[in-house]
Amino acid sequence: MSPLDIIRTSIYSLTANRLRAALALLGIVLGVCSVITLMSIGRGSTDRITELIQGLGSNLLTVIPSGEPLTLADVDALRDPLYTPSIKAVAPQIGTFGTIHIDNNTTQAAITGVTPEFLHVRNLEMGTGAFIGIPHVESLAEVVVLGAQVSDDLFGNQDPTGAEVRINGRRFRVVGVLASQSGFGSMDDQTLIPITTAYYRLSGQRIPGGDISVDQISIQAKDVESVDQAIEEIETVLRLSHRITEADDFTVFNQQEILDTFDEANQTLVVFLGTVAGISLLVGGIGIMNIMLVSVTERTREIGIRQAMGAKRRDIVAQFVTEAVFLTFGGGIIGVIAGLSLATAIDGRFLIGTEWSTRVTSDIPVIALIVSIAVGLFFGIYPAVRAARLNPIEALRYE
Amino acid sequence: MRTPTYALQPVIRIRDVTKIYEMGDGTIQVRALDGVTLDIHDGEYVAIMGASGSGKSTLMNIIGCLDVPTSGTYHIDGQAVETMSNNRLADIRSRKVGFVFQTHNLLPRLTALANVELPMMYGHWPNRRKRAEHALNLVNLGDRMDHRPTELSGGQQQRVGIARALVKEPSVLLADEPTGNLDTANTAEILNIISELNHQNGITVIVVTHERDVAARADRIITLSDGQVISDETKSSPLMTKGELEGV
Ligand SMILES: Nc1ncnc2c1ncn2[C@@H]1O[C@H](COP(=O)(O)OP(=O)(O)OP(=O)(O)O)[C@@H](O)[C@H]1O
Ligand SMILES: [Mg+2]
Repeated sequence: MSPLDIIRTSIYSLTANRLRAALALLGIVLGVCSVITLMSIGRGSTDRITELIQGLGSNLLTVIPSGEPLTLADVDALRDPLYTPSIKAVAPQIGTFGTIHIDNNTTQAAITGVTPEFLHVRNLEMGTGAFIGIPHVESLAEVVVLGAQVSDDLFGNQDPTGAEVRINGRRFRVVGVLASQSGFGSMDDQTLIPITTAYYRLSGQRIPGGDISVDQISIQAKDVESVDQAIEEIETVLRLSHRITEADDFTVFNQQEILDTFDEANQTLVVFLGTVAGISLLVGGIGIMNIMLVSVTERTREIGIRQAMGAKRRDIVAQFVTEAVFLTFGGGIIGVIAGLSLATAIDGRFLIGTEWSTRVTSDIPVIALIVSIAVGLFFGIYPAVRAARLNPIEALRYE
Repeated sequence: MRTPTYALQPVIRIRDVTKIYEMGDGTIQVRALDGVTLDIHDGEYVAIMGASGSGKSTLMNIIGCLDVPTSGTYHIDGQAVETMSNNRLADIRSRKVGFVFQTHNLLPRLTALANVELPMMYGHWPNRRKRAEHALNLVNLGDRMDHRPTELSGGQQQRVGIARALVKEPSVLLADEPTGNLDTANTAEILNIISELNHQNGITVIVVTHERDVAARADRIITLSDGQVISDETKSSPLMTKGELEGV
């Protein structure tokens, strides 16, 4: 039997029961579609994390207290270039929550007390107005810089610069709005005020000695290469000022490490998604096998006739395997088209509480197609061999 | 025109063949064939008769290599069928024997033409279409080639079955009650085609039938009863069969 004859015969058989062929196809379509979509989502989120690493700057370090509080005195010590030559900028922060309102428009926002360094340490850009300046910090000024989303919630499209808002009942003057940032780690929903104002006017917490305690310190190393050196310098300075002999009462996070952790979690997610997709393809494959087995039983007589006409076992095997591969290949192609469309459609959309980002690469459809053909071969062979094993005369007699 | 030449070696040589069907976990045994010994020579026209259940179809299936005997030996063209691989058996089915079934056994979704092409497809024949058209013309179905079996009368379906069997120019044509359900006109037509194949092309023909007048066309009538050959008559013919020669 020539390959052309095999193909012709398979098409003949598949068109004999279109509904059944379509249902078998559907299983593969869904399997391949989910493989493509989930793999694209996996790739997309990997990309996002890489983007994030580059966006935040891999020379960013974060120090948080784990025992004794960190204070502005620590910040001053860290700023001394004599002890910390590898550090470019130090930005202490105090975080609190509050209610912001103008007239009768109220919104909840995370409020962070910052110093002027915060702007470039965190790679931020101003939309309108100016950022918090040194005079604001020194004078405990009641000024505020709004995140893009907060500004939008309160003022809509209007430029809020110069306007007054109330934070926890106190009047604050808006001096600027941050440019909108997309993605993870965005400051859009943040409200920034001078760190001193946050400490004395909003939080009211004090530690003995009148020093201001901070929640975290963001530190920018001179460059990526000096990150490790900077960590050492930070540890030396803080151990000295905290007079530490045993365990540290602070923790230094390397931005890169944090993102590596994210990336690891993401990889786990990708593997998980891949497994789920793989299982659905497997289910599709079992569907194909089921259909093929039914079809072998139903077509026993046909197989008998073909054998009586001189079909060899390998001809019968070839016919049934080709049918199965046709189904999975056809399903694979439709699934690839559906999967690519779906992946493209959800890219950048905000659905079910998450922003989806997908990336379609050319290897994904190729892999999916190869896998679907392999599924057809794998699940088609058993029914095909069963068909070929039939004794011609028994097959002919089958009702 | 080819006259039957009785070569020393018979086309079909059956020795003490039995076919036992076991049923009900082997407790019941049906001896469909019980020690059949037969020689059929090239160019013979043989009719097989016998009561229903006497084993005619079973014998035909074994001769056509569709089934294998439980014991005994069967040689076709001098080759022992018992020792043949599955592939070899398939080859014989596709080249050497043409089988006409009582119940046509056409593939319902293929046209008459495609049905006739089928054995050539498995035998890797060239010019399939041409040969199939020629075969259908021989059985007077030139105008029904694109019809599916369901679009043909019973007699026409049977003729497609004959075209399918003769298209590969088999050396043996096996027909199991080819005229079972046909009227006299159709029966005569089909018997004429078969006789012509025997006389003009020298094809060995074995026909199973219940009807005397169908059997009358043959040169030799073998009668089965309970799986055994109870009579084997050759009509008066200018030449004697090998058995008769040996008896002299
Ligand atoms: N698959 C089978 N299983 C069990 N017994 C069988 C089987 N096939 C045939 N037989 C038995 O073998 C015997 C011979 O059957 P066979 O079909 O050869 O008869 P036949 O001479 O062709 O009859 P008919 O003229 O009715 O076609 C019968 O008794 C039948 O019941
Ligand atoms: Mg019979």
